[in-house]
Amino acid sequence: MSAPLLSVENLRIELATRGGMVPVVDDLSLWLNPGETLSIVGESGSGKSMTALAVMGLLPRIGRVAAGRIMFEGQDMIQMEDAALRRIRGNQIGMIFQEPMTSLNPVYTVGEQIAEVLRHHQKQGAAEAWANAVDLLDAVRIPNAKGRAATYPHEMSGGQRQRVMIAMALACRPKILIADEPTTALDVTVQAEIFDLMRELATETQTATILITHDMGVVAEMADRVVVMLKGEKVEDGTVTDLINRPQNDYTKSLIASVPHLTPETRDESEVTAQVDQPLLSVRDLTVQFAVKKRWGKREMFTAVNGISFDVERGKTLAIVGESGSGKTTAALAVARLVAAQAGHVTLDSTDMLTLEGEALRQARANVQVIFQDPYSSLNPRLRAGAIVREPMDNLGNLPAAQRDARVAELFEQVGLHPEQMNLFPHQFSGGQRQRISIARALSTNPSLIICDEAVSALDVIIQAQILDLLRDLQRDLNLTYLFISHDLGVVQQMCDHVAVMYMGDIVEYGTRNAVFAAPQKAYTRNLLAAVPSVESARESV
Amino acid sequence: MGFLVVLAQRTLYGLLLLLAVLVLNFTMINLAPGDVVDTIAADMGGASAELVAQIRAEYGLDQPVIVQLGNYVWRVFQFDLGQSYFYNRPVTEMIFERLPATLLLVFSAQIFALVVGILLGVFAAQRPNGILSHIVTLFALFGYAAPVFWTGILLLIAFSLKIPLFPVAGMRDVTVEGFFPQALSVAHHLVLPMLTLGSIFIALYSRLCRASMLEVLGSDYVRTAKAKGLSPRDVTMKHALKNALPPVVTLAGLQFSAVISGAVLVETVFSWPGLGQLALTSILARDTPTILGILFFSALVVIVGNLLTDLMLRLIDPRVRGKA
Repeated sequence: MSAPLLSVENLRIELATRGGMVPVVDDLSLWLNPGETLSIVGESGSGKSMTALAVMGLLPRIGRVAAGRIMFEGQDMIQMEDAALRRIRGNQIGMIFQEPMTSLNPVYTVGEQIAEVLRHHQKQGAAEAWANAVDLLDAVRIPNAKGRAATYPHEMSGGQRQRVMIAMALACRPKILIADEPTTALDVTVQAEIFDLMRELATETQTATILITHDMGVVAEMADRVVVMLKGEKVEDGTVTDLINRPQNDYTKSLIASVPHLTPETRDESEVTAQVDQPLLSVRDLTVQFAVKKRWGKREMFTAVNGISFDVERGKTLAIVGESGSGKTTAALAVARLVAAQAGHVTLDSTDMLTLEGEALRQARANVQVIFQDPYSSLNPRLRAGAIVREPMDNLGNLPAAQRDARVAELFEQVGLHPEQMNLFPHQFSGGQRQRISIARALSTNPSLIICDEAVSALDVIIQAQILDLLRDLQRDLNLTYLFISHDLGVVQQMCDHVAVMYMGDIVEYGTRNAVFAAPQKAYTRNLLAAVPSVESARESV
Repeated sequence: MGFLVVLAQRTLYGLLLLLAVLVLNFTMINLAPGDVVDTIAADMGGASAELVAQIRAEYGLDQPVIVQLGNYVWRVFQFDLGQSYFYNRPVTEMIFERLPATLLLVFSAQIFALVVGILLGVFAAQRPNGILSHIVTLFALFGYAAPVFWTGILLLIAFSLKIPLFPVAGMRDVTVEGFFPQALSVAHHLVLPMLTLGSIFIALYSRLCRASMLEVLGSDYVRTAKAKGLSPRDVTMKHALKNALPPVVTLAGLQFSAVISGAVLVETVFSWPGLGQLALTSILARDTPTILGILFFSALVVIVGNLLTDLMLRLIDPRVRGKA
């Protein structure tokens, strides 16, 4: 084995907090060989991103490397002068980030942002750098690269922006590419394309890659070796094949277990409570259109939901899956009357939801509640947790005022929080706990339908599993009905009884979970399923 | 949306706004008690009721207000702002004599305040809790809090009397000849008034620029710029500053009217021969046509200033270009 390209030795990173310096990475050692892909895997707060930023010398102001060495080509990057470090950054080591939507500068064209790197590091002239930028855009498969080079980031999709980031990071043919959760914000089919591209370019340019991710499926498909991190420390490392097949550490095992197996398995039907023939929710020909303003004030209609129909039985879960822009969230919000539908019928508990107006509509909201995606922004930061859960009852419920506080306490216990936590503010809770508050709030009016709009998408895998367990338990105990909106097929498979796959405003496939997952009828569904990373590729055949 | 379409659209809005300003100004001036005839009569040491009525008829002030308004608007559309009661000269002529001086003062003070404010803001954002950042803040707030005439007089005492670097009053030295020496002389006279007027706005712009820069410096694309290996100067001045500018430019556009009202005071302190002095004398003389003329041109400057702001924003931020 040749000498490693990069080696991190006993790295300790500390962040300044009110309570003094707190270590976020401690005694971490790892190495990267030329041309290989090393994956650092862990949940948020495990220190994986901090490690990457330390290698780049880009730790936030409040952070510092307290001990250890980062050796690159015989030099310790921590001791290096800033100017020397800048010659490595973007030149020898390129980096791409998690958020393609915000990682490109909105006021410069994408061509300029790539050409800038070439002018800066390789002293290319303006025309030469621009021509090379166009070639790079072509290499990352941006169609019509020549024309697109002159466009601004906001004119591109998320996947295209991440391609631009890759082009930028690889412009100077770096020896190392650091990719920090490069596809977490992207749709699963786009993720597959980006990974294909990264694999191909890395092989072609002999670039070694450090891939930071929380997803063991991604690790199995992309990496040669892997380092598992938990709370700032390395818990296990090894080759991907070894680790997937013979994990030693319990945490590693739970990470592997959290990867969805998109293979049919029969669910114990006895778990499912009372069967009712009459559907609780019946949606027919639901159409939602938005006015898009065009030149000269002319209005054009964009059809987000194109006449879809589905039923949900009481006590069951219907999942609507699809990629961003498929109309799944719009459809669900139209059912809840949170966006206006142009046509169709929505019958909930034999009430026609779409014709309700004024006070009747306000009262009907008690019967359908929503759990939103982002537990950080969907709770009012100025209200205490108890008040957040109580508010719907004050507005809608028919519970006497004197009993409401007792009901709040009961709800807190039901969702696994302690009633004493009622007096805390949202920022004093973790992401998972906040989502429990959201669930308690949704339950407070005893709704017959709960819409979960990507309710677990912002959570770490282990927390995600806990919240899904909670939702399932509540469904069994309270005979709840869920309309479950998600882009994550693994989550959907764990949660639902029926699945509707949406694409461009239409339901392209609709059926029971087993039917859709085991024998998808439509090519779109098959592609979607195939794009989900799994650990199977790294499994040793017995 | 094409650039020309936007320009045409904004110009049309500007004209409508100008018409509204015209009607509003006229109505408000006429709501105030007293008119020019009272002043003339007072200057003559009193006049009989017949004479006062005769003078009113001569000026057309005996007609109903609505007729006077109609006549006024009609004349303005023929570029005739009327005759000054007090100076007995065409208002347009008097304004055009003085407008360039005011425009020079207003725009140079605005640009000075913007450039200095933005630089101070960028500087303060580098180390938001550093001692220099606090000094910048203190200095800027001092300029904002001090009354403009006081700042002006203080600067005059310091840099014209104690250290005679700059002239005390006026706009140019009448003894110099030739274009460039004259231009130089004007620039020399401009320094103190510009500093005085600009000092109020430096605080506003630097505070906002600092806040805007701090936000932008924490953004993902600035991290990307650093990851590209760019120098701190390129990261700050190229990638961060351009994104931090829109709020500052927007505020500057909104402040145009404040700069003009500040100019009235500054012109008085420095005997700057602009609209400010004319405004003061014509208000005291109840010279309605002149006051209306000045208000009209002030509104025009504000509208043009806002139009420039709008176009500037479109230039800075490509995302604005797509919108009407």
